[in-house]
Amino acid sequence: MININQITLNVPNGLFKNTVSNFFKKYAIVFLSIILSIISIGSFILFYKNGLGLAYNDARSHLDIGRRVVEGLKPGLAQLGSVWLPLPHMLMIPTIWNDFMWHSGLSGALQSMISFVGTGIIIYVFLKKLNVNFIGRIIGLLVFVANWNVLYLQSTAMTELLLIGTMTAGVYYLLIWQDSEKILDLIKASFWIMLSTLNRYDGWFLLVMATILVGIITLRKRGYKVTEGVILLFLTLAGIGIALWVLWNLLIFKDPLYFILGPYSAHAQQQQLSQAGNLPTKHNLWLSTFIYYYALAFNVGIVTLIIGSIGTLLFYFDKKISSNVKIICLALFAPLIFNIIALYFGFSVLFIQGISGNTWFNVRYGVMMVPTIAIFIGYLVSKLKNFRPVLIGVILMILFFSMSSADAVTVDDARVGSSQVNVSAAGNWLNQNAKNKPGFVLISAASHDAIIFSSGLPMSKFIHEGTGAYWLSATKSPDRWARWIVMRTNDNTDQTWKLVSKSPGFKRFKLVGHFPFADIYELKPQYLNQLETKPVFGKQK
Amino acid sequence: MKSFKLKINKKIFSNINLSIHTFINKVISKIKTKVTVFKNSPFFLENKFILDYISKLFKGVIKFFPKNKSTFITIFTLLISILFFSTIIKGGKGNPIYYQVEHNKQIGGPFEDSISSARYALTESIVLNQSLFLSPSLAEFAAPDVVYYKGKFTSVFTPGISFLGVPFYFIGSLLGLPQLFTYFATILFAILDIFLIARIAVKVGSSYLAGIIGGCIFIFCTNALTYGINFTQHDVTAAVVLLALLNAFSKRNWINNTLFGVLVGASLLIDIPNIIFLAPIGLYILAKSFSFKQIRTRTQLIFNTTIFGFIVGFIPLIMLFGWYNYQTTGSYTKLAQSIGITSMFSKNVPPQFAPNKPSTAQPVSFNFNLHIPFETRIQVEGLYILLLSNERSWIFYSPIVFVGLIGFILLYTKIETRSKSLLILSIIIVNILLYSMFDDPWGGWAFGPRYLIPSAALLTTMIPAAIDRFRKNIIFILLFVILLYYSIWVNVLGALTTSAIPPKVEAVALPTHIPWTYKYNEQLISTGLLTSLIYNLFLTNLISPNFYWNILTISIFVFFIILYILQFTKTDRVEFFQSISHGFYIKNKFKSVFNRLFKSH
Repeated sequence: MININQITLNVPNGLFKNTVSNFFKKYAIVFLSIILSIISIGSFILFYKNGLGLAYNDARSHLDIGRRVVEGLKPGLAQLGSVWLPLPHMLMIPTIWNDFMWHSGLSGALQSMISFVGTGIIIYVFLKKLNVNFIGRIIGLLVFVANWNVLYLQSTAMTELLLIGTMTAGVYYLLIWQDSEKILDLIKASFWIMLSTLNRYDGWFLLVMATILVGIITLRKRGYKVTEGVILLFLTLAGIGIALWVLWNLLIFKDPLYFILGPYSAHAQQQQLSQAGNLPTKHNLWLSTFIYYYALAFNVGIVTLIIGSIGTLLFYFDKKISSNVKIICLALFAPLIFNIIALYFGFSVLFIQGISGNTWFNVRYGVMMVPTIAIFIGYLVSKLKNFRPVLIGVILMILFFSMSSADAVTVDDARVGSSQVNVSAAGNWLNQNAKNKPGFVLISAASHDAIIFSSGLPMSKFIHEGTGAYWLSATKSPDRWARWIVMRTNDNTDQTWKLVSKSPGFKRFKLVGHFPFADIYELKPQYLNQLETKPVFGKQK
Repeated sequence: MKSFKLKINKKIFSNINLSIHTFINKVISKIKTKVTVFKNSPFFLENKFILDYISKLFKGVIKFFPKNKSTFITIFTLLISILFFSTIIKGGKGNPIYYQVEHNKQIGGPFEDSISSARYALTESIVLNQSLFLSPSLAEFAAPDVVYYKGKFTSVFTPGISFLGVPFYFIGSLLGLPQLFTYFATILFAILDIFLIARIAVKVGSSYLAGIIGGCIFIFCTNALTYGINFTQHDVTAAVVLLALLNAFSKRNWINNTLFGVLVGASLLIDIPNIIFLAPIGLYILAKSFSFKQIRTRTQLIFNTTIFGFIVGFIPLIMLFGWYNYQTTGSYTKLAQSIGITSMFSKNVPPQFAPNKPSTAQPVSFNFNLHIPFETRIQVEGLYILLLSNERSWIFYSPIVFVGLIGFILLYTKIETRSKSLLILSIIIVNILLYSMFDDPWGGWAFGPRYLIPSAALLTTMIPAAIDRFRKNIIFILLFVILLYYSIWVNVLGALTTSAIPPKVEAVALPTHIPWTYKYNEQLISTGLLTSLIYNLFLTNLISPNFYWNILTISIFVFFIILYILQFTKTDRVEFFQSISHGFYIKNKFKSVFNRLFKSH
């Protein structure tokens, strides 16, 4: 007799448990790579179409640095500079020569996009290594992927995703190493950590932390003598990036600590802020912690942060997890500790709207902890069997509303915060008035890189600090070398103004454009006949 | 060192025990003395026959009680609830009663808040004008929650509550009391909530009496009391959620699934976000529709097709909603609120209706934004406002509801009630999280966390579990009684004065400063504002508003105490009072705490 109240489906035993699940297990990484790549490309297109791909001025500066290596009056590796660490710009070199790759930002975003896909896969395998079940791994991955801040930063030429990727990979291989004790795993970890040290200074802190943790683990397992050797081995590769960077600064700028103490360093900028009273976190641990946690909450979502924190607590109280695993996983907190310390010592600045006035600045630093939170949420989902449906429901609900409300604080940071300076007007002026006329533009790249980018002019049109003899000559006799000068009038922090305003040739220029962040001067027509309009120095050393 | 610590702790415990013991003995002896004095007083001797009668009546009731426990409690609670509600219903002296024809939006009146007046305006328009649109005068009365679209005014709210009020308004208008009767609709649901909570409590293994206490806590100790006497969606939403929960705990068949569909449809008509609260229940029911059976080499996946009954119940109401939308906006799916409120009456709008100030952290949207009014960006502030702030949180308005968390732990630890407790918890979480993402987590000018009223109802369904477990525990009783009295005190104050307390951001910006907590209600009552109809009709010259508030608080508190004592069996009572009077109870408690503390050492 047919029962209309029921539909029955007969499935051979083990169909789901064995066949389907085995198939997925086998090809999980392939599936994830495809899905994550689609998401990554989709996000890039979305932000590009929305005109947000290069909303951060820093993104344009990064692209310009990469471009100067291959094109300009003095191309070459020396253009990598000293302010920012070189890895992101080095990775741009193969593609930045192409104008579309440069001006679309894709050359810089590409590495972030690959890092995004890579980090997603690492989160998955990291959780697998922690014996987290399949659903836990997927939820952990989802927390990382369904985050507009991550998606935005992977779609732009910023350095955060590359750092997240290299750091997470480094910690993952440390996790493998503590279990396998294979030298190769330690070398892999040190390789990724070395890459992170060449990307952002957060990586340097990870190196210190990882070295200590590797030391502790080895000491617990093998004693002091072996520890000495293991640390040495680890540091040989992991620390080589830092050593090379110091050497680079010594060779190019004649000061091994130029990147820390130089005129364009973060330290110099922070000193200005401190003098203006805009560094409230300095020497205030509570405020530093508070501000960074707010940045975290805005990047990750307050509920996700709370759930992740619960996951962390349970993880560290879980007796089933070995203490070595717990020790290594402490490295996941490197960004948290680093950022709080950096704020406390005044090395870094972070503004939260509503707390630090009515603006955002550097709030994106909070995004560094997304993989950590994703991992601990994945763990929690797996751990709490009875609460699992509620937990998953809450996470999905929050992720849905976060996505539907387009909650990307990093977009705000880039568009309305202090990171944003609308330079398109000055850039447009140059494009319209200088594009088809012979002559160079004298400009400080340190102050106006975004204008260089926005102008759409070739890099070889600009004389900037990195152009050697051109810069020296043009700042002495601007009327002989520059047809246009872009600078902030009466502002000695602008190197061009500082050097040019005192030169007699500056009198031969007239102000042709006044913009919020820069003025444009043009050489009076009667002096054009004495102007150099072609590169004359040849290949400079 | 360890033994030294132990000695010190023992000494401290014995000292505390001794002082509590002495204090209780003193109180008991004082009470005994007072009773003896009272028994020998002329008043007692003169009125002995009346007192004897009351005593006999009470004994009779007590005798009746064990036999027809549930019936007695139900009738007793129903009558007392009606009595209490009648003492707080809003109204004033008029001809015969004010507000029946007067559309006065003064502070404390039934129309003080546009969430009530806009709904009432629609009800009035349906009955008097047979129209879903508001006349200009009614639109002004409903402002600012009015939408102006294609030359016509309509309420910004979904029509469920207004539809509900139609028969009540109609009957009321025949008697010249349309406002009183219309508002009675929500009171009915508020009273219904008591019994629904009790039913759910029974479903999760608690006693019916404890369930009734839970239900009464919801109605008299939370802002459900304030909103129960207004014409708003809150108490009705709570009823729908409770009914859906009861439905989910029942067997899955065509009738129950159809009824669930009806509830979901009705919930949409009442307020759109309700559908999100009901989502966990829907998923629970859906999960119950699937089952697995292991038969030798194969697994049987059984799907209960009665789940399709949901569609049968859901469709008529969603069609009604679609029809309403079509009439008002010209589209079956376009909601009036999606058009936005009109600013035509903004000049005449009192301050409590002023639009809310934007949050400090408004996100910059890009093309992906779906423009849903729930944004995770404001959640940090939203959670603070709803859960911690003195502006709206339960901590300040109804701390008694937190006893429900103890109940949750107790239910969760039992395997048979675990899934039910998790379902209840998940609805609470969804409710809290949803409104923490809302543009205005304060609920405008409101009393307490009005958006969390369904959660308060759900938390109170778990209070009975705690009461059943700890009903003789002196620490629990002390805690319970203190929280209970405080919660009644605050919420009766809200019901008797105003439900329009400004958020802090607005209060500080007002030309005349007013508090942003229930201090505002205290301020109003001290200036003589009391909105109770009974008080305004009969008692203004006899007692002060303050006295009325206190006497009502004490009466409700006594009602709770009676309910609480009724739980005790005779043996319970003897044991409990004996243990208190001899200090054994406390002594034993301290002993067990002491043992637990040092057990691990």
